[in-house]
Amino acid sequence: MGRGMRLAAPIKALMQRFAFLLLLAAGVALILLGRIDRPAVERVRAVVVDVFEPVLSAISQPVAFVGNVVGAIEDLAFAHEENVRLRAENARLLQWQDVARRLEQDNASLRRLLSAGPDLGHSFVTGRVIADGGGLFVRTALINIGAKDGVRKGQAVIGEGGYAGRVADLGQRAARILLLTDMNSRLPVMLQEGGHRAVLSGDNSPQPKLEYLPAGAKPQAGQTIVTSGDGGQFPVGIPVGEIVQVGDGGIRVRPFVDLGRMDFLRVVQFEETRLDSEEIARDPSRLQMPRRP
Amino acid sequence: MKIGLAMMAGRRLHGLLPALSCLLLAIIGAAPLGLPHFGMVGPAMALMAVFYWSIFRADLMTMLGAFGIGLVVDLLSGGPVGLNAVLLLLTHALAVSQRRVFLGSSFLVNWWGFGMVALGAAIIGWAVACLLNWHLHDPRPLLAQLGLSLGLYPLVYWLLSRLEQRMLRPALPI
Repeated sequence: MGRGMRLAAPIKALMQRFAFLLLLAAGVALILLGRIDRPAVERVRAVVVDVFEPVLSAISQPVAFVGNVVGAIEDLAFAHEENVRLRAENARLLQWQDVARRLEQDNASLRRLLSAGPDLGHSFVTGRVIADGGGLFVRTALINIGAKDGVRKGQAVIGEGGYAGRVADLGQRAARILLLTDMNSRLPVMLQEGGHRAVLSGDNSPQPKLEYLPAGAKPQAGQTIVTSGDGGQFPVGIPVGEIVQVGDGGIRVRPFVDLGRMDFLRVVQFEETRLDSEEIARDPSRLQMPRRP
Repeated sequence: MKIGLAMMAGRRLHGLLPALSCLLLAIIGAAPLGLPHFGMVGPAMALMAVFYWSIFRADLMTMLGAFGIGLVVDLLSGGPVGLNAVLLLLTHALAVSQRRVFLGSSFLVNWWGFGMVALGAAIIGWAVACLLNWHLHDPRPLLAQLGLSLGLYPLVYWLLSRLEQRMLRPALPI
């Protein structure tokens, strides 16, 4: 028995080493496969995410609670400064509210004059963020709504303040959002003043780059960037961010949404902008008033 | 006879506890923490658990287990698939090869060991991601994660050692 064990030990060690190398090779092969065959990886991801969705949903809330407590302690420390800042902001926003009301009326009467139809309708589905990409090499978030809730690939996702990202991978019960800061994100946008078209390219940094701006545009810090709707997948005019830097390092935009602290996200169920007139004649309900958020 | 079967089933289930605890910690690590100043960075929970079990219960944490847990982390995080699988496999192999050192030493040595492993994993992960995307990734989120993981390791260590004492029979001597 003892002799057999002594003989078996080196063989066992050899087998172990072999298994280790095999797994290592499998891991490297998987990394390369992920580069070559993205759709296959996406399908597997969707299945795994669907399976884990209930556990993630259950766990994400207590985990977020811990983070919120830390945030609350910090907020308390700066409560006074924050209060002063918010008072000033509130006063300014009340003025803006007046302006917005007036503009809304103007807009409605001008639309009537032009006999332009009301805005194309779009509705929302809201989901809770249940996981994020860990913030190392990707900027993504997982939400607990998916194909069964009417979410489709490519739809725009809005957080508190404005555009957050678009639906990249889709499962039945969960969807992965590619945030606008991710290095794979390219968003058609325009300057709110002037309407110059550009592309907002993420590079994993907190402030994505504004690219392909036409020569005539005069970008300045503080200007607002909104979605342009080019490509037809997004509604026009979702607030995206503001220009914070114009210089040698390119034009940098700070997103309005606080991507580090997202609780709920809304997926925009947008009807394609290019509806043909026949279709509208057949089904006038496709032109409906936008729902108030 | 029945009692014997139930005991065997119970022992089997107990044998799965290390892997299940790793999985649970991996899911907790994937959940959005939302710490101020940390952005989306969260601690590498699965790494801590795999390191712990590979040292203290190598009989219950196999290399296949470590690989599988890494794969789940990859699929949930949206990062390169296979990266964490390889990193956890390497962590497991390193911890098992050095477990005699760690078994006889204090917690501080264990903590230091974890720090070294986490640093190594961060460097390898960063290098692989940079090569894959052909993009120089900002290393600061990785350093933030390293700090968070190091800070949380004592808590995870304590929780897992409680779990081990309560739920698992002592391991056979090596």
